[in-house]
Formats: sequence, C-alpha cells, structure tokens
Amino acid sequence: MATKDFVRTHLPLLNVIAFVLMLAALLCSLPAEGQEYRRVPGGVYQPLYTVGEKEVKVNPFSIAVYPVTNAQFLEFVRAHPKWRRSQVKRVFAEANYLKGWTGDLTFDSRIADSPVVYVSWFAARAYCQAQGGRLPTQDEWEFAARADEKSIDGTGKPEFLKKILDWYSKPTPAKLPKVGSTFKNVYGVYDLHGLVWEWVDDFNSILVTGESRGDNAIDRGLFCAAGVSGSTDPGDYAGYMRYAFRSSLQSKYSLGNLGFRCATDSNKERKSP
Amino acid sequence: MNLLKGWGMLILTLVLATFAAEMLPKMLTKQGIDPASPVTSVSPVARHHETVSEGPLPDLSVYNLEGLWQDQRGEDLRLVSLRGRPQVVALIYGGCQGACPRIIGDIKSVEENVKKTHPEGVGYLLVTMDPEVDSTDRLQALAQEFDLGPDWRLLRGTPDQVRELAAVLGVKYRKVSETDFAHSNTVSVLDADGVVVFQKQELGADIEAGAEAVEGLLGNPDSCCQIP
Repeated sequence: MATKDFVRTHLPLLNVIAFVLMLAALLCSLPAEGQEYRRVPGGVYQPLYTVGEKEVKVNPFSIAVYPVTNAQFLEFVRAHPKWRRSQVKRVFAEANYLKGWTGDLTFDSRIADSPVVYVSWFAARAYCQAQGGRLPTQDEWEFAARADEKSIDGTGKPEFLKKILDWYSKPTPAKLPKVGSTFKNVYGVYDLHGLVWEWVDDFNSILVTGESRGDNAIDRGLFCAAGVSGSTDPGDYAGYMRYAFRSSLQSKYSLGNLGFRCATDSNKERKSP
Repeated sequence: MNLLKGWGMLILTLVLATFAAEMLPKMLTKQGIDPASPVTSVSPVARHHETVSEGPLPDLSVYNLEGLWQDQRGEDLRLVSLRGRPQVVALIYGGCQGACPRIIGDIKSVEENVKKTHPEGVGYLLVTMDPEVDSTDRLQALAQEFDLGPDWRLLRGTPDQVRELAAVLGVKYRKVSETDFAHSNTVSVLDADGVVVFQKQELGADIEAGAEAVEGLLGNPDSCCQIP
C-alpha cells in the first residue's frame, strides 16, 4: 500500500527517472550487446612478411577482448536476416556457413559462449560494421598478438612461440571452449592464440611466394613486386603459418576453426567490472 | 515509512532499468533500424546503355556487392547496372609500370578476338586498387593513353568497396610504397549476370582461353550454327 501511495504521489518524478534510465540503458546496452574493447597504443613493428616496406607503423586502435561468440552472432543474424544461414548469398558465404548451428536461429546452448566459427569474411565484416566497428587489419592483429601476459612483445621468448606452435599442432576440438579460456595478454585481450584462427580485414593482401600453388618461379610471375617479398624472421614458424593460412583463404570460406573479433579506431575501452 | 520509500524506489529503479536494458535494443531492431542493410532498391543514378537482365540476381553474382562507383567520365554507377552482357574484369592502378600495362594489353587482345564476331557484345572493366590517387581524371587519362574504346569502363570506389570486390574476385593486393602495390594479375570473365565463369592469373599466352570463355557466353556463331 505504501509503495502504491509513493508511486501515486511521485509519479512525475518517477517518469523523469524512468526516462533518464531508459536513455542511459539505450546508451549503454547497445555497445554491450556487441564486444568489449581494449586499447592498444600502437607502435612500430616488423611484420613477418614485408613487401617493400621494412617496419610498419601501427596507429592506436581498440580491439575486442574476446572473439565473437555464437550468442552474440545470433543477436546479429536476428537483427539482420540476410546473414541467416538460409538467406545468405553464396557469393558472400559458402554452403558451410554456420554449419555448427542447428538452424537459422538455433544452436546447441552449450556453445553459446564459444567463438562463432564457420563464418565468412563478408559475414564477419558485416557483424563488426553493425557494431560500429570493423575487422582489425592484419598489422593490427599481428601487433596485438605479439603480446604475452607480461610484455607487449613476447615473440623473442622461445616459450611463448612454443606455446603457440603447440596449439597449432593440436586438432580443433569438436566443441570449442568458451571465449576467455586461454591467456589474457598485457593489453587485457584474451584468446589471440589458442582458441580459433581469426579473420582480418585485409586477409587478401599478402602474396606469399612459394605458397600452395605451384613453385616459386611460377608464383613470382603472378605478383608485381613479388621479387622483394620474403620472410624477415624465418625462425617464427608460427607466424609463417598464420600468413600462409590467411593467404590460402577466400572471402566466402566458412571454416570450423576460423572466427573473428572486431576492432575500431575510436577509443572504446571500457573497464570490465 | 522512510525505509519503505527507499526500498520501493530501489525496486522500482531496478525493474525499470532491467526493462529498459532488455527491451530497448529489441524495440529498436523491431522498428527496423538496421545499419548493415542498406536499401537495395535500384540505383537512381546509373545511366547505362546495356540491356538489363530480368529477375533477381543469382546468388553467386559479383553484382550483389552494393555501393556506388565512379567511372572515368565521372558517372556514378552500381555494379548491378553492368548486368546484361559479359564483362572482362581486372584490378589495376594508374601508377603501375610493370604488370598493369600487360594486363590491359591482354584484355585488349581478348577484345580484338571477340570484336570480330560480337561488336559491342562485351564490356571491359578496369578497377583501380588505388582510388585515393586515381581520380576520375587520372582514369580518363589512362583510358586515352591505352586507347580504350567506349566499351571500357575504368572504376574507382571507396577503399572498402575495392577490398570487397578484390575479395570476391580472389585478387590479392597490398600497398607497398607511396606509389606501388604488390598485386596478383587476375583477369576474370563475368557472365551477363555477373557470375565469374573464367579466371586466369597472368593471361599472357592464354589470351585465347579468355576470348573463348567470352565467346562461349555469347554463343560462337561459328560453332553454334553447324548442324551435325
């Protein structure tokens, strides 16, 4: 009864509170639906494969803490029907698209927090755009992924490289672990190594000589500036595998071990509770 | 009483907050705020002379890519407006000294082969991978330099559009210096609906294969009419 009176007498005030709350909820809940980001200050790094350029400057950017999960991707396809399994255009995603799901909007609830896989580059890109973000560039991804738990560049440490290689040598489990199940790097970003491979925006930018098709001599003929391309650190076998993997991809490919996370230029960092 | 008021307020606040957080995004999407799905209506700007094929685009059509492009005459167009005749497509850039003149030369050879039997039956499309540098004027100059006829269109789009088109065509490219790109030299033949039917890295000696692919789409009068 007291509550009722309270509501009656304070209705105008409550309306104002409700309005403010709704505004606040609107502002907070939209990005929260998508991904949480961490700031990477950027810097100069030496990419494994340099074509012409030596060191590459990476501008400051924000990158998602986790890969996108099945639950998050479900929200996206709910809102954007053209990216549902039954409606996606074949030119943007091959028949394997969202193969792990049981239907357009259904999957085994146990994989809700596992990274979404069997997504094409176009679908990944559309997801990030819908969040006001984009896919990270290859340089951004590689720059962030050099970091281990303690430092921004762990690539000089044999144990770090070994850990990555050990993961590469293991087959992808049938049911992927939840996001956040591997290590957290110094930027506060999880799972860059050890969970799934990830799409980058310019996956189709690397011309690796000697890649799967044909021999080097033929490949050299394929690419304008191929003569100057080459590995700067042949010891980084894990890095070589990533570049080789990316260069073998096509934009519509949907693979069981390939997911993605988003990035953005803007400083979107929000501390997790 | 004061305590009760405090609790009431708190509960109400929580309920409202939960409601707002839960419902608002859903209400918004139901109202159709959908930034990732631009309206797919037919372009009002494309002025084209080609016969437009009827019906929905095939799922595999490159023309499913949306977005406005600009040709060397400064005309805006959507890729879908190219529907109606086969297109021979390659990515190039104006400052390219080595491979690109060769690509253009290869496609011109295809044109010469095809022209004999099908004048104006085919379109030729060069898309710049360097849209920031290659203005429409520069594309126009390139068209003049290589003496490209009216069936040729040289296109520029946003870097995003170029990245997407390259992705569907399987073309790799990367800026390696202020003036240069490393890139694959892919020539693609699209059918009248924009579906890739033939692709070749480095056409070179295989110009005839390219021409045959185009002839195949057009129906070669030499082969079509021979009654067995």
